[in-house]
Amino acid sequence: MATIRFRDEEIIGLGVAAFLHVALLGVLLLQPDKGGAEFAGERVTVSLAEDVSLESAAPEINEESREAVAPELSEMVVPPEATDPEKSPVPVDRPVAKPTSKPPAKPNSNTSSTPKAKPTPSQGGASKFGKAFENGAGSAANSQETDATAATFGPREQASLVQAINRKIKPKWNAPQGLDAERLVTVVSFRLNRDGSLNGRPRVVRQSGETASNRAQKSIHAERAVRAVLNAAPFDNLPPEFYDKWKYISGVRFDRNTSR
Amino acid sequence: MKKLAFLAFFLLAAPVAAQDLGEAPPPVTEVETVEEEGLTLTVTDDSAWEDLGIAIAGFATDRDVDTPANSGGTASLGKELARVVFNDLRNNGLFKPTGPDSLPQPSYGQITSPNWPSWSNRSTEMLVHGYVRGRPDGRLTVGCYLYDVVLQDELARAGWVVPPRDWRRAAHKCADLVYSRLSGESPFLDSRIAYIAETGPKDNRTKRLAIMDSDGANHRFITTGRSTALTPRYSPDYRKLLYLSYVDGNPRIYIYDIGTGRQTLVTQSTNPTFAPRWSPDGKWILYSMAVSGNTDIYRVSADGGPSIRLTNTPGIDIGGSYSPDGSKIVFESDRSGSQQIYVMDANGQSQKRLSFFGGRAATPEWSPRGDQIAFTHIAGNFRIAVMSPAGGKLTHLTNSWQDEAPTWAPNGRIIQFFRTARNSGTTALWQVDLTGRNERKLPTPVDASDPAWGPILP
Repeated sequence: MATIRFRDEEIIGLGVAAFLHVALLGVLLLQPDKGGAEFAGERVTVSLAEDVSLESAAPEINEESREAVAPELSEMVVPPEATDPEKSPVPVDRPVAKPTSKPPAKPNSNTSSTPKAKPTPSQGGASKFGKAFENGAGSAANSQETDATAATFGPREQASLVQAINRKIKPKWNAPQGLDAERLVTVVSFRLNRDGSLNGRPRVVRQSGETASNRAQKSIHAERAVRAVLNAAPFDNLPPEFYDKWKYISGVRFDRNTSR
Repeated sequence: MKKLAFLAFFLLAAPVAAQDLGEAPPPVTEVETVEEEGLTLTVTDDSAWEDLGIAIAGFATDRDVDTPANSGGTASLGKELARVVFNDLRNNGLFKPTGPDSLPQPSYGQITSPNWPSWSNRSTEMLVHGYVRGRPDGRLTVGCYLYDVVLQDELARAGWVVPPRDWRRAAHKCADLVYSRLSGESPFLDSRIAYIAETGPKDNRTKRLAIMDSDGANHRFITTGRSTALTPRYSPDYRKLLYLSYVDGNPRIYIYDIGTGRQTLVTQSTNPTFAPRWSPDGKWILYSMAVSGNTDIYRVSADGGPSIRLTNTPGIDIGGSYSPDGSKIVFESDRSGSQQIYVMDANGQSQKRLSFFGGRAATPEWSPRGDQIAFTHIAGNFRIAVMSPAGGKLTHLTNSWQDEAPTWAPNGRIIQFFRTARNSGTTALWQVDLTGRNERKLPTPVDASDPAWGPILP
């Protein structure tokens, strides 16, 4: 019968370990319930965009555009008159070209390399201040392109456009009730003006789902669909840069039955 | 050297390219109708069925004249008319009407040109305006207008001239106009209902024949209750009522003339007869007669004459109901061992079974529109159900303990039946539409059973 013998350090170590375990258990038990399983019951609309639309037709497509850069200011600002008064008539047009023509100095190299940039502050009329900024229309830091990126109309834009129109029409639509009435589908087309107002009256393109029982609701279904569009106008929530894409809505499908 | 190479390349490449083009003609696609390219999308309506908000303002009058229809003259009659319209539409389950008591009273001039701003502010989509005018001959002219408030557009209008005692009918006509314009269905509110009024203790019920308007107004008892009355049926012209009476202790079918109060036996026979039905044109009467334990369906002219036997199988054949064109008869038979629904030609030929739904099926009624047959499906509890005339597409409309004896509204879109409460045994008339979503109880002064809905009044 061998008795197990602990050394003092081991006893201390085991004691500390046991105490910490109990402490940890206590902490875990006493921890207030944060309700981790909380489910935000918010509805998410999933739209499956099937059509991939054309990319921008601009001759050169910029994927990204750099951000606008302010000019580096020299360390010491010298008052213009004090340095050389005779130079002043000429430089009005010269320095304008300078900041743009010269590839913008990399921020890291600039501080040490060129103290020669002195004349720039000298010409400094307030009117020219804006020109001193490097132009750029995007937010990329590593691009030299200054033109605006092409406005692409991709699946994402298409989907959000569809959503925007849907948001307008849906609350205004009220499907008629009746036997088999949920089988009816009405497709309506309409044209929009640039300001989102309707151009002409919505037109019923086609109807489907007619049965012997819902024949009576067919015209009501079409009427309510047209009414929903009339009621939803003006569509002032659509992006003007994509007017070409939404000037003609060729088919709004009014379909009560979502499961089909 | 480079130029030469280029040239050689082109010379060589060109024919190859040409050959390629020759071999692969552009794929032939179907010729599509030129549709301008545009955005397409689907709008769904996954909300619960929403009721259409309708504001029904009091009917206006050009000048307040006395009328027998209302002690307060035409001005207060106008308000009463709007209340009837409101109650008619309220009970449909399709609309969310607002009555004249909580709305501003339009002036006579505003009936044809509503004060749009004041209506747009209310959360209503439709607006009903109307007027009532007393005529020199004592009759009333009632006009009814339906407007779309959102689009500020007139949807429908109509006018009627009615004698003062029929003023409620003008209101029903107006409600029918609104209902049919907004639902697409045929009107049904201007119609009457016959039913059996039940009073007294459970084991000794007094059953009387009673009639009323579709909204429960103008209620009237027809029989005294000394003898039990059952299964009434309105003739298509509302002049007569067929019903089953135990006048001399035996169940026999009588024709009751509503105008004269006279009643006659359908057939001079000592055998018990039951389950009377009119043909759609009112010329024929179907009934069942039990001869020495074998019940069959017979047809007789409404003016009397010999009866023609249509079924001759052993067992009980009962409750024939004509299709709206009068060419077919749907009925109930237990020839297979349990109650099931069968169909045959109007002359009794080509009988065939329709119901294969499990359980039993009874009291079939052909819809006035012809597209459905209503019946009582007995499988555990009694439920009102419909099927197509070919026997398919079973749909249960109710799910209660005991719902039976369906009868159709004139437009074939609402079914009336009676429901027996489980413990008390009290019975009441109920209505359900064909979607099964809108169920409501019809108020009657006493317990009620065996409803029969008549056709729409002209």
